Amino acid sequence: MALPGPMNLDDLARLGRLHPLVLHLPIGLLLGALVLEALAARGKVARSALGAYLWLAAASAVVAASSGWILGHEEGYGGETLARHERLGIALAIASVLAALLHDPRGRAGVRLGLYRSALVVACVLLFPAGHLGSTLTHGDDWLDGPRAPRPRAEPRVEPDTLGAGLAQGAATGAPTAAPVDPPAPDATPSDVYGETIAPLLATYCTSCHGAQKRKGGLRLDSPEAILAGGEAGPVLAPGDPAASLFLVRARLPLEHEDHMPPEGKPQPGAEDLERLEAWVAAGAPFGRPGAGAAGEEQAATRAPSEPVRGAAADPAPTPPAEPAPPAEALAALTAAFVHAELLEPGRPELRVDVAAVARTFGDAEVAALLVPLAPFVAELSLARSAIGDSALERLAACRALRRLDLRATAVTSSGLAALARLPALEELNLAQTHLDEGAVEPLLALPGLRRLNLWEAGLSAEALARLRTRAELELVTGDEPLAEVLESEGELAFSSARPLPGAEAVPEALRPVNVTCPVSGSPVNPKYALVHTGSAGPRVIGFCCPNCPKEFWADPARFEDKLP
Amino acid sequence: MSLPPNDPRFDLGLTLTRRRFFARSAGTVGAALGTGALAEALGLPGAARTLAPRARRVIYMHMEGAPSQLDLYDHKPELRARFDQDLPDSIRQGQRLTGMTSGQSRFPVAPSIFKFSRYANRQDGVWLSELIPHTARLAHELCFVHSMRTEAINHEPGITFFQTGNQQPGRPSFGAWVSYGLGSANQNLPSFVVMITQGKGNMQALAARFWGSGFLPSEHQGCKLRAAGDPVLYLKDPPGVARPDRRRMLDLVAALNEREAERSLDPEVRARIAQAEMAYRMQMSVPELTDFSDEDARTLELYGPEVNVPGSFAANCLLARRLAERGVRFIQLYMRGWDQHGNLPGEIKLQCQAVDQPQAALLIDLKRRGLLDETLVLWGGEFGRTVYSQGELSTTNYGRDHHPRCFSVWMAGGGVAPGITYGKTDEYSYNVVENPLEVHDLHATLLHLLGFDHERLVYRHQGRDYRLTDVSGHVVRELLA
Repeated sequence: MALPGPMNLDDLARLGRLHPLVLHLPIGLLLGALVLEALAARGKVARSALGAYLWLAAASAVVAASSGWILGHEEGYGGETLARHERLGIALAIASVLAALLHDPRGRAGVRLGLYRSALVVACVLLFPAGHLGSTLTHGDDWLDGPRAPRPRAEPRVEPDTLGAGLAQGAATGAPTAAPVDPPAPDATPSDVYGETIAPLLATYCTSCHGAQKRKGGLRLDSPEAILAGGEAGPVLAPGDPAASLFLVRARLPLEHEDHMPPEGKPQPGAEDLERLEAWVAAGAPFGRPGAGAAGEEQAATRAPSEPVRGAAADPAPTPPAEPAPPAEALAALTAAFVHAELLEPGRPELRVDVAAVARTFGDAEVAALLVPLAPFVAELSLARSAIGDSALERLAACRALRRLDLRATAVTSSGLAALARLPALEELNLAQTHLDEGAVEPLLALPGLRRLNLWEAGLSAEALARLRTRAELELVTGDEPLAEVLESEGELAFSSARPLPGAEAVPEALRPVNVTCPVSGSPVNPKYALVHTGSAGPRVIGFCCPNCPKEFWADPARFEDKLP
Repeated sequence: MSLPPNDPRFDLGLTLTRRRFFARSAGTVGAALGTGALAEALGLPGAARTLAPRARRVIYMHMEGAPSQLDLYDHKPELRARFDQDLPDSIRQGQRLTGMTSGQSRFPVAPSIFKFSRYANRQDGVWLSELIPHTARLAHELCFVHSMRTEAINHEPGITFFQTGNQQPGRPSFGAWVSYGLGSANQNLPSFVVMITQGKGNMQALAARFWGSGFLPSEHQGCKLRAAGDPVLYLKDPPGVARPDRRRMLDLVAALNEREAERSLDPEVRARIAQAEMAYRMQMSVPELTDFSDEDARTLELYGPEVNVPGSFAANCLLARRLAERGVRFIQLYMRGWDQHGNLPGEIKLQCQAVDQPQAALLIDLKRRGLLDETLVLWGGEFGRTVYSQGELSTTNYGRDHHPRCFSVWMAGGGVAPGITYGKTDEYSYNVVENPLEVHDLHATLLHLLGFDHERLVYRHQGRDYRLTDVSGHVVRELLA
């Protein structure tokens, strides 16, 4: 919080920084004044000297209070503790000034002497709560009985941009991840984000209360194991999901919220710090190095050459070869174009790509612009119903890992199929509803790994299909696959819906209802429930499905007139 | 890539938050992160998947009201000799009955009056009823489970249990879980779509929460396509509102909502932004979806005469295929009217006429387009029906009450073992005697085929992790191809 106007001058700010130094003067001087007053009361010290001493103490108290006030408004502190410290400090300064004013060098007994002494005692008493609160602000709740060792001061070493690149992660997406089974092993290698950025942040803002010495809420945030273990309220970290990570959620609450962390009055992490934490959680909260692959290298490359990589000498082991991953820019462009991409299976950088959402506008140009950059990673590709033609097939030659290709209902022709021979991994090909001719047979037979081929309504003649069927290992779908045979059937049943049981009472023709469906429910008529009704068509037998429908019918026969033949 | 100005992708660029876009574009990522993290690091959906999926989507045909397994699938020829005999107590075992038959003085055995035939499958054939001639001819593709069991005995809790894994309302539906876990494969359509066909007989209430999202973010709830009029209500802009105006309005509301989302951290605010954007895109995609004019005559013929009647099961089956080929993750067809307490033979014939040819056509159509392999099809009701007649039993007519202790469902495609039967019932089709399949087991198996460990697809709510299978469920390997 900055002060408005001239108060914001650097000099004043510098005065504020002097508060920790200045504040010790009134402590010594006021307590000294108390001792001198005791001696003066017995006539052992001259009161004239005491007067000057009291003015010195009062002046130091005023300077301490005003410097503290500046500091409190400059450093982003806040909260009840600060407010109380501030009030006590000001009261202390006022009491010491009063003591100096009321002091009578002649030391005559009377009301003034009593008032002076009271002011001095009040100032000295105020020293203790004001000092305690000040220490709490600076050193934390546990400054008095906490750990003796000095806490590390965090200096995040990685710039936010670099961090973002390293994690290649954005804001919370809310996308689901599988519940974690095994936490990643902690690995304090040189360039790990946790060790360099996250742990120092936690040490600055959290571990004074959530550390080895003081485990508030049963929670420690000073080691990977402890962070994953959580506290009494359950887990605090959900890797990949900032919105479910309690420690981050509570830090994001408004300061005045009861559950806000760190508590009001403690140093608060800035927006940038929170973003670092969030990016780390969103990236799955890695405790080791984030992907020793291209990202790591790129991150290293962005560092200034003069900036040594910490611990590089201590870790001469070569980085393992990077697992290739699809370039994120190309993926982003693909998904921004509404083309669907997902991993074929978890953990492997093989993509399944489906253009269904934009099939009608997805043509050869889109294949070149969007798919070719990802070609090595595309293992399954559906271009079904899209606007592509033969030239797209040429471009797909870069898809060395492509196993399944769906070209259903596209404009590809027999002459374009030759390009598919350059797809070494192709196992399954869907050419249903295309316009091929006899010329397709040769290029298709030339595909060595092909196991499954759909040629339903692809325009191929029976002879052409027969030639393809000579490839024994090739499963051919043509849409005229045989249906399941009937192996045996039950004979005529003793009774069935079609044939009443022999001997069952036949309905006399005259009583047969004129309708087959019940006029009320629309269900089939049961001849048992029939009645004679005289309507506009004369007397007729009307059948119903159940004993209830005739009641409804009788209530208003005209309503059902048009339901009858 | 240049886009026509009416292309919905134009507008997406405006609403993709810059922060997210730049974060995604920021270089490449190593693959050393754990399972699921790669998909997430790449910004791809489906990060909750831990297994290689066999199915990419689900078509779930729910037969609301509970069709009779005895008249369709569970062939018990020996019952014909026991016509009108009392159901032995040794079979009934004092099982609770619904209030509709608990007062009956006797429980006369009602054998099916429908003729069964044995159809070739990949085992020694399967007996199926004359009521479903079209479906029966696909026996080599179907996986019949005769030993399905449920806990509920009434429709409401029964359907709720099948749809959400719990008899009490409030949990997310199966489709919502799948949408949540898999994410969308088509940004222009909802990932969970529901369609309803009115039945020919006694119909039970169908509550919208059967396809609700429970405590999952609400963009995962099923979107119901209506049969008549506009498929989605209020999707069209009102007269006088031009599309650019609509766009500007949505942008402003989204900006306000975004501020609220950052302040409150309530995921429902972001869900609301997402749904408004989805609705905007659906203004273009839904009319295209529901327009059958690009279907050839042979395909329409395959689905039968009702295919052009909006809301018919035939029309909904064709829509289901169109949704499947557009990448929609969970397509649910409800067929109402199977609750045949009385007059079963007449009503079940009409119901079967309505569903048999269309559902067979859907399977054939998926198969020849190469979609059946990756589409998991499930057909079943919320429970079965009793072997004893409810109400009067005659040689031509009977009714059947609710029966949760055994019933039949079938599955096809999507990694399900084709052409088999699983599980057996006793001679009365009253109790399971071999390989019972509980609802949680069915859910666990289907999730497995979609690439999920059902114990790890969880959502934290009210202080605990919830899953579709609650605290139960086993993957049944025998049902997998």
